[in-house]
Amino acid sequence: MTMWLAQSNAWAGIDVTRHLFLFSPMLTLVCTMLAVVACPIIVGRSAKTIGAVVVMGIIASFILAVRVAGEVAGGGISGLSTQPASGMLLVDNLSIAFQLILLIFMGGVTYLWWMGSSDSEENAPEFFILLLGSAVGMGLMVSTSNLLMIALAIETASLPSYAMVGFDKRDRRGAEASLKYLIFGAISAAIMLYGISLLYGLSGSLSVAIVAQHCIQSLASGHNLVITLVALMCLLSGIAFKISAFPFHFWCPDAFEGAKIEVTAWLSVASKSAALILLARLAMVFCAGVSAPEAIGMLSPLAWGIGIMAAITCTLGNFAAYKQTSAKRLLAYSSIAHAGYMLMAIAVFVHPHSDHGQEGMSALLTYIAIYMFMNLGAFGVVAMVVWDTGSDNLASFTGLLRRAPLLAVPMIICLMSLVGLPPFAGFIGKWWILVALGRLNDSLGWFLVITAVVNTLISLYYYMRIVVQMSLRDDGQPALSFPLGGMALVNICAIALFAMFGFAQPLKTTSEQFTRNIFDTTMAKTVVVDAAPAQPIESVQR
Amino acid sequence: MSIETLKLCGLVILLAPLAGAILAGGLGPRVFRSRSHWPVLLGVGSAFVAAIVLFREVYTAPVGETLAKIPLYEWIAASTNARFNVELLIDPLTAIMLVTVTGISLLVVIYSRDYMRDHGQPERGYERFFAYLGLFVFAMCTLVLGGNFLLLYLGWEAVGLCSYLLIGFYYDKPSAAAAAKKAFLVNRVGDFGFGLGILLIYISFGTLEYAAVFDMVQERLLASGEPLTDGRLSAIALCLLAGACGKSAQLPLHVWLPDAMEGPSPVSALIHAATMVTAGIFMIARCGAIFAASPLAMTVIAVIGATTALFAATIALVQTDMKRVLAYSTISQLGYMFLGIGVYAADSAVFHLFTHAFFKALLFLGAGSVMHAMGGVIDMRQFGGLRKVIPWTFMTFVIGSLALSGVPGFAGFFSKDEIIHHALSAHWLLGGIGLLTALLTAFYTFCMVFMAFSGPERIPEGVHAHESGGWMIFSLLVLSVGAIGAGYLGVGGKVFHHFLEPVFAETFAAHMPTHGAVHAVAHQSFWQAYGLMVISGSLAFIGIIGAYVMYVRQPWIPGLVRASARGTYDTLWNKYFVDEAYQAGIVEPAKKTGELCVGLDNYFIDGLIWTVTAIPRGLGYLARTLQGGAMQGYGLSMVAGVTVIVLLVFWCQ
Repeated sequence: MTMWLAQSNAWAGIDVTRHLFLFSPMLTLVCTMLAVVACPIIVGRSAKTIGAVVVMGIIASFILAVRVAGEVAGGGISGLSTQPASGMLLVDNLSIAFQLILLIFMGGVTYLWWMGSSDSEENAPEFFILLLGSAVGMGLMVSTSNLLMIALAIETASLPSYAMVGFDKRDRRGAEASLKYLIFGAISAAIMLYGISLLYGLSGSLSVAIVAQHCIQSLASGHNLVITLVALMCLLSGIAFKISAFPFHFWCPDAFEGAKIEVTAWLSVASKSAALILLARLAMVFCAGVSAPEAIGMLSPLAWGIGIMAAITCTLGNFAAYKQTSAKRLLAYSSIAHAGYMLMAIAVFVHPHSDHGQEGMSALLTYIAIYMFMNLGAFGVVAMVVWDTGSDNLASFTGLLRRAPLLAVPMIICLMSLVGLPPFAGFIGKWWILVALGRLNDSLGWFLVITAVVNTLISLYYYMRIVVQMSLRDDGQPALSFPLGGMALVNICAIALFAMFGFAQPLKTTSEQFTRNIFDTTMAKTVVVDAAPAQPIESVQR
Repeated sequence: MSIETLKLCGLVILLAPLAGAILAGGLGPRVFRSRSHWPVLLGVGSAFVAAIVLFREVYTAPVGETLAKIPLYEWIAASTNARFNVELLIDPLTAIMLVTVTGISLLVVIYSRDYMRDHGQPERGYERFFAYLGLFVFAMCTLVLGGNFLLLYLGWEAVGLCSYLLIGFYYDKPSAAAAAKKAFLVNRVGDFGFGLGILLIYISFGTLEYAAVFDMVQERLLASGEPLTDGRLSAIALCLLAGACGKSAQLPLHVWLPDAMEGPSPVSALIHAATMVTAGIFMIARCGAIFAASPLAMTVIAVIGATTALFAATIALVQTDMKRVLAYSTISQLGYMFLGIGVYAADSAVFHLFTHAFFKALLFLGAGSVMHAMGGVIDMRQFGGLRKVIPWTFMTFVIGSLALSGVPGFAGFFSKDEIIHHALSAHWLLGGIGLLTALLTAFYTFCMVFMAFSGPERIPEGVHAHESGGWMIFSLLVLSVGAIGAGYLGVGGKVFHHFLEPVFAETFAAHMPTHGAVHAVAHQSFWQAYGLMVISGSLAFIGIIGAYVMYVRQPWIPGLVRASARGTYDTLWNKYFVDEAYQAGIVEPAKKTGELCVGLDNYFIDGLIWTVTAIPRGLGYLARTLQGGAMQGYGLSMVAGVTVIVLLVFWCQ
């Protein structure tokens, strides 16, 4: 097959083996999925066996991803195409960085699920097929700048997620949450596809770089202005749904509360951050096209739009978390708020005066990496409390500091880190975003800085409620029994948060490396190529 | 100065208390039990010894070489011009603070050995208490030793956390839990400003290292090469000031400190009187380059300080809870320190900080000793005439009171007098407020002394009153020596001020406005210098005599005053209704907003569903399940939300 591809005319000059290697992390996940399908036939449905297979798959994928990271460090590569702009997929520092984070996180979630499942657990294969499927979708979301692929990737990520939320068929709440999530997702997908079709109609291309140039032209000239704006808004809606940004966040608390805790943890980090990276990439490509002075002014409303969306999202999330009594629901609102903080980083590089694009991008990536540890730790503790007490109500946390100090202390660390207090990594995450915003030194930047800082203040209150419940209240409940492995997992998260604060420099350097060439290569090259007569693009598309 | 010695001392000061805290907290419940004070005692003790060695190093260093930076490791090397290390900064100011903090902490730990016991048996949470104390000393020393704003902030937040944990130590008492929460939240308001200030500094100067930032402020240059405007400098200074107001309990963020007295008395003495609350003053002194360069900020500091000093002193007049009187006097004395800094006399402010630490710790520990003897009762209406019952406590308490009142010869007199002197030179009103407050201070302090110790012996029923144990008396005696002697470091040869001179030479001293009145300070006559001493000394005596007349000679006067000035009395008793105003103006609206946001997600949707489905219902269409309706509601809210964003974008543009 490789031979045949190489011989055929369209693929001349493309090193197919190399390109397959570049996408091998995701391909490995697909293979793992197939292995999980085969497992029940060959070795049985034991949860532990399936878990082991999945973990092996994740490790293999991770190793490959590390090797690919070395390969693309110097610049992004557009998949199976000689034209950087026209490949359906692309691999660059950003996408591989996210895939690495995703794989680590998936390892954590798998481990959590593995510990929480009983020996009689029958549905392990189904669960992991869904988990792997959504992971592949998320991996693809960040590795494309093609509208069709974006739509496909989002759906690949979403469909398994709907099923995962309602995975426990006997749980009525889960089923209801799943249905809500599904309908809401369907509406958003429809809106987004409508937007994509409009954009295709306007520009005749599905490549974001080309679409962006058409959009900028019409924005600058006023030709097709309204329809362009509507189309962009529709596209943004679809992504905002995945980010759960205001006003597309309504599904989030319901779905998070109804789902099993491992699924909630998975969605709160993986799904949101994939969508954030996707939006960041779109914004990046879009802004790269804007070089003409007259078009720069067009970016200001976009920056304000994302900025206001971010500000409302985090304010609303934080305020709504105030009165929650379910830990899962509280963390759901907290995850909405955090999506807001991360959106602020995107507002940085959509900004017309911004020459801090990379700063914003690396702040976002740092935040995602830290956020992963904070949420994995917090959800891990909640999960273990739920397993033992059967409830995620805050009352179950009463006196946890005495009942299970080895869970309570990491929980306090994770919560303090979510607030953004030093000496934990959450502080670093917020710090870089705020610095990037402050450097804009204009009304939007300061508006967002103030909003974020005020929100930190507000968020302290409800995170403290859990801390107070754990440390300052005690109603003499018996000590908590929990799996040792789970205790180790949450403590590793807590130590990681501590270490990422103390050794901020390696973290910063790494995230800068992983955001380095995406600005130089992906954008600059695409734009240069697009400037040339666009005949090969047409041929590839058809 | 040998860098190696300093580094060793710095590390011991930081790590020994931390190690003590970890040992007490980790092994306390199982291994140490009733001996849990030992690891912390040894840890803080070694920190104190190290602080003395460090002080000696700095003191004996030749002029011009009293500042040392000790890098530990590189924390961030963000870009070419913005790298900074985790490093310690040691200069005379640090040295003085370290000796004060570790010294008082050591005495408080010794005192707590007996205080935290009930009939010889350790109280519940004994080891936890000592672990928190050790942690606090670590945090406070980080704050003081840190060579950049990040370590300052880290220590700042950490002392806040320890304070929270210790205020809420008796967490099964609802008032203690509420007080802890209040302290935490009010401090966050200040820290909001503080954090913002630090962020502004980083964005403006591209670094967080003290030396680099202060140099750029002196040169009036931003990292981008643009000139530093007055507006930006003032914004930074005011943001930092907000943090200082929170930590040092100045108006309008003073409300948490009186409630913080719910914590054990040693904690009140250490954290809420002698050390942590002075962090705000320390920070302003440390950032002198920033503050002194902004006349606006300096004026604000002076005004806040003077107002707070008077405001808190008036409230203290009518309180009957011994620890509350002391808490308001602390706020008032911190106001003096602010006032001192505000009139560019930072060395006097730090001097007052130093002397105040001794006598206020002494008074709080004395109050704790009274409380211990009275079986936990601290309301002065319930007991009296204790001078025979607890003679040692009585004696040391009077020494502390004399120092606080500013009676000549005691520590408080010298330092307070200096501040009033400088305030008078700056503006007659500031000085006048200072003098009036001095009078009130002497009065309420001795009202307290007479109420508690003079007259016939009255002891709450069922209480076996007894003098405190040897560990407690030891601490009280050592502090008494400090409360008498500390002031003499600042008179005559002015040893204290000369030692501090290099720290403030280029900041406060250099920026001091040199118009007429202040200029005269240098060339004052004998009467100018000593006239004020006579005045403030006599004010102290007048206050004490007033208290004597009212509470010992003619005890019917207080009742008469209370009856004849009902309105004023009630206002003071209720602390000017500030708490109530905050409750109505801030807490309730915040709660309402929270409910609104939840409502938006629950009730508003339901309302929308109802509205949206009203017509179909009327028409007989099916809208049977909540599901279908809810989704319509969600969809509609989505459209509404998008509209809101679009409108906001147009509005903001």
